[in-house]
Amino acid sequence: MLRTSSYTIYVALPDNDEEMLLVHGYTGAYDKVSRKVARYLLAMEAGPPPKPLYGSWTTEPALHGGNGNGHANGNGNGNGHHHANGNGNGNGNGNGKHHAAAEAPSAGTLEVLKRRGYLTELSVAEEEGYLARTAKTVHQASMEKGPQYLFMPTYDCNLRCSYCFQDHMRSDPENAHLLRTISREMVDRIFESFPALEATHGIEPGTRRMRSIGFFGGEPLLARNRPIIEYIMQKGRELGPTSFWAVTNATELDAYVDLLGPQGLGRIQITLDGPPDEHDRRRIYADGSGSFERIARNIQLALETGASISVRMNMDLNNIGDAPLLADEIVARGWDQYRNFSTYTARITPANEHTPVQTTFGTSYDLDNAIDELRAIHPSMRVIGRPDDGMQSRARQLFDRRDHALPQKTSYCGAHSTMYIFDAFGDIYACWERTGDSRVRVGQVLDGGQVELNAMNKMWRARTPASNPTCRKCRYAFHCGGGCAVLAEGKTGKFFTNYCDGFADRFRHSVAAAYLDHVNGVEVVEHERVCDL
Amino acid sequence: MSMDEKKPEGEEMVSLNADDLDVEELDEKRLEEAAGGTEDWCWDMSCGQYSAEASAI
Repeated sequence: MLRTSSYTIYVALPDNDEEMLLVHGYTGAYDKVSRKVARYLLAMEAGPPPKPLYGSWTTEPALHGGNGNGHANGNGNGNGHHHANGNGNGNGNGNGKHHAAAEAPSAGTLEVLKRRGYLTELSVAEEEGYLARTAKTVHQASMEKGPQYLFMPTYDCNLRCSYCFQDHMRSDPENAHLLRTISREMVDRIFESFPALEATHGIEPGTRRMRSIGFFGGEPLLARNRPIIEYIMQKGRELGPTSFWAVTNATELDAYVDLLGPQGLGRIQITLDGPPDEHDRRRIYADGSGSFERIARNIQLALETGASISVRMNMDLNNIGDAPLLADEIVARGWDQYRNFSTYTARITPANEHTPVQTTFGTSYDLDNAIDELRAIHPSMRVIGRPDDGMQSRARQLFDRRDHALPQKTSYCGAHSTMYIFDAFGDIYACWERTGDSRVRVGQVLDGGQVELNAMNKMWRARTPASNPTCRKCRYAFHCGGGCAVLAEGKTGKFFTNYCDGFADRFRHSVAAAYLDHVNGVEVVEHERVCDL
Repeated sequence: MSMDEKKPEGEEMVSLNADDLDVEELDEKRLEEAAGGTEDWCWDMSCGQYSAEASAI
């Protein structure tokens, strides 16, 4: 029986009661339709979306024209239900009626709706099965791209940021052993393990492939680490074409200037948590002194090498108000004039006992909105990236080019597919938020480069939208990937659960804003973002 | 609204991308894209949010 696909996404356009956008969650179709067509589709939904769920992914905009729902932000309260006959604000209890009479569109439109996936003959269960099978198949295919590598040369760090998720490594004497630096012998052993690791992804020994090697810590680019970093880069180059990147606090980046640039350490992420005063309260040395000016000098040095510099700002409710001052600082220093400079913001999560939950943003969407409000008042805030600017710019590109990108984000991050993180002890981890504790390693590198991967590896690599009954039903699953496993586990105690982080609202807002920018011809500002390289 | 998207009178639906998209023909393309190279994989430095952002949207 013909019905509306369970994976149809409805995007309201601000101040437009006549039309809205449709996006299909697994075919990648984007269409503009009359409200009549949207109402028809809502009436043809098999039933209310499943609940209860954490987050707000099921909340779709209601469609009764002129009732204040013409806002792309949606309602975001997690209890959404669809109602072609609607009763208001989208925060009902999921018992709305779904088969109110709705006028069918023309035969031609019905045909297009079917071809683009919005109408289907599959039952709800059959369609969910299709999504799950597709997720598994695509995930397996993506694994064949092969491993990407991350070295943690040390868990030691010269800063003592209060919110750091690795705080215990430096503050608890029981973890003092973690602060050693990786040896050349261990680096050799890890490189010897690459063929065995790549074989687990179906890659034959000797296959020429582009490898990616990253550095993370602790602080990987301490000046004293330079010999071992240089050694790892040399080993990587001996293997074949390799791109290098690092997440660094940049306090000692001047010791690496000659290694930076497109042919060397090409992508660098550096954190600034506000203008100088605020940053120096947060990102401090062990003696309590601040780090802003030293980092700023090194950002300037790094920009001139041509390396792509992404400045990350960790935001909470206590420093968001200072973001315009940091924006002014960036403009005053002229960094925004460099094509290889970009910024983005991320919300601080309560990862340790020094971070009260009431000081944090509830979701990334809350942070998006806070930055939008600041942009409306402070023009310089244009240089501060929202968490979802990337999602919006990709939607914009899709509209500008009339492009088709198949949604198939079958894992939230590399921890579930091809990322291998090595520490100084030869332990292998999948996620850098879960490092430094050999009880949760996914494997280890043994003498002679032999690799032992364990059941934890299987668990990490198996987390896809198909592995979670909530995600399997979610219309955003192939755009979101299921959310962060660490945050999901922290919230629910279960690894195979979803962490939505306001994704439904963020997606709809991004698509609506991108569409409006497209039709209004808003100029696209090209900046080399780290992820574009 | 740009000229190419101006809806004729009575038009109910305007495709904004991929006019030739057909749900019946996606599976093969899906596998090609999933296995395609390593360069399109974006390593997330923000820890998670956009690790696979090349394939998000």
